[in-house]
Amino acid sequence: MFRKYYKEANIDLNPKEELINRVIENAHKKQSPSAVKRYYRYAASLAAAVVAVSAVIISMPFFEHTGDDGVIIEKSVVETASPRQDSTTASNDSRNAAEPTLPENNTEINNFETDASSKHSYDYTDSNSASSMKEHSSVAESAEDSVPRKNSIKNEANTERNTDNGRLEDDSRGQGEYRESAAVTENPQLKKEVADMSDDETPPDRTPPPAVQKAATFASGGIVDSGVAENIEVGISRDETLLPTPYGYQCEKASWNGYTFVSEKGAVINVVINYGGEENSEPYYSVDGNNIYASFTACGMTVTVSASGADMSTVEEIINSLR
Amino acid sequence: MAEEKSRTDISSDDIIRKYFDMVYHLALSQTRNVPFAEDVTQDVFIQFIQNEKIFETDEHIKAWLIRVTINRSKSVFRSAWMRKTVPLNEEITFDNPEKSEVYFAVQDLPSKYRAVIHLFYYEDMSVKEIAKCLKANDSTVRSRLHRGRELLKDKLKGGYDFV
Repeated sequence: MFRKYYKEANIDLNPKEELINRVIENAHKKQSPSAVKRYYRYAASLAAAVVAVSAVIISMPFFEHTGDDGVIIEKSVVETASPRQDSTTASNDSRNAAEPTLPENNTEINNFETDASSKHSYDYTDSNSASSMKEHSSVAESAEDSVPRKNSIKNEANTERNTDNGRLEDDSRGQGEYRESAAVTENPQLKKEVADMSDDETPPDRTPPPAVQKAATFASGGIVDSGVAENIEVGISRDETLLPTPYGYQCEKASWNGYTFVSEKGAVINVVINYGGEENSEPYYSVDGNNIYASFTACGMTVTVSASGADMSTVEEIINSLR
Repeated sequence: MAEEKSRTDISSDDIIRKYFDMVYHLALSQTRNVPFAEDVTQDVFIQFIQNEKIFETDEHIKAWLIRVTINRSKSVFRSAWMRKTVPLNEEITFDNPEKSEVYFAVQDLPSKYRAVIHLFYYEDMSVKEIAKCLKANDSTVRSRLHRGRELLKDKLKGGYDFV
């Protein structure tokens, strides 16, 4: 009975033919898509993946360039050192040699440029020292010899210091590197321009502030008139103050952080330069018997002068020349 | 076997027409709603056509359709929208009160008992066949069948014979 009534009830609920046709029609419409249509849904995600991978590949060189920071830093060091064109330190010379461009009116004798300069012909007898030095500096653009020449330049500086007349024609300096520079010294104009070859305390990468950059460019030939400073300054285009050798003194040592002047009578004047952030101050003098002590701060640089057996006027001259 | 016919031998339209009533009534007994039943039926046959599986026998096709219909009916009720709606029974009417009483008594059964009762009493399937379709044990089908009958006896006052 139960089965009978249940079957009859379900038969009453039989679907209509219309429903059957509709279902068949829809079933064929929604048939499985072709392979192309089936994979079409993945096209968007595939395209996004390709774009992402391409972006990574394209941006990779930019990340690799970070490795060039060293080169950039090196260049910047060279560039910041370039204002010290009047510096006679060997390290500056080497850096200048490595620098692609040098100041036009660099009157400094870049002894390390000899090898490069030897490849070019230029006339040292030209009265226009600036132009000749310009050629000199352009020659020094080859950075190949800059680093190895550092040591050779230092050796040359030491050799120069030991010479009596301070001429740059000492062949022992650099295996003939200074042949050309010797020719330079013969030039009366260039004779007064002496590159500082002594650099025992050359800092590796320290760059003094451009406002005040000390360079010993003297001792080319014994006693140098302090008036030479003017001649030297004429040839220098940058805002660099030179520390001229006082009258009656010889420059015993010249570096980026100090000078030592010695007179024939045995008087010694030491100039120490410390770079810091102190405020400017007026010179302070202290006299203790035969010793004179002076110090002042200017342009972030603290200068300390200690003299033994020297005159106050000489010390003041040095102070004033630095200020 | 001669009686065994693969899907390739019988067109999909013939199969749909042959098993349409079975699928529809089973979906109706599970969903207890005519529109839902129509949707489930359509989904089942769409899936059947899209299914590239080649059925070996008619029994294989029948078992597959029953299993898919029950699963699709369950998925309808799992939807969030369906959980918030109540199926309407007013649209189903019968000219005979006994039919109405019996039919709605089965509709009130839990789904697991409902499916077994429907397949046993409407599709005239054996316990074994039901167990094969539902992928359950024979004992499970028997126990559900027995439990369903007990519940129907309590509901139906006419003292129907559950043969």
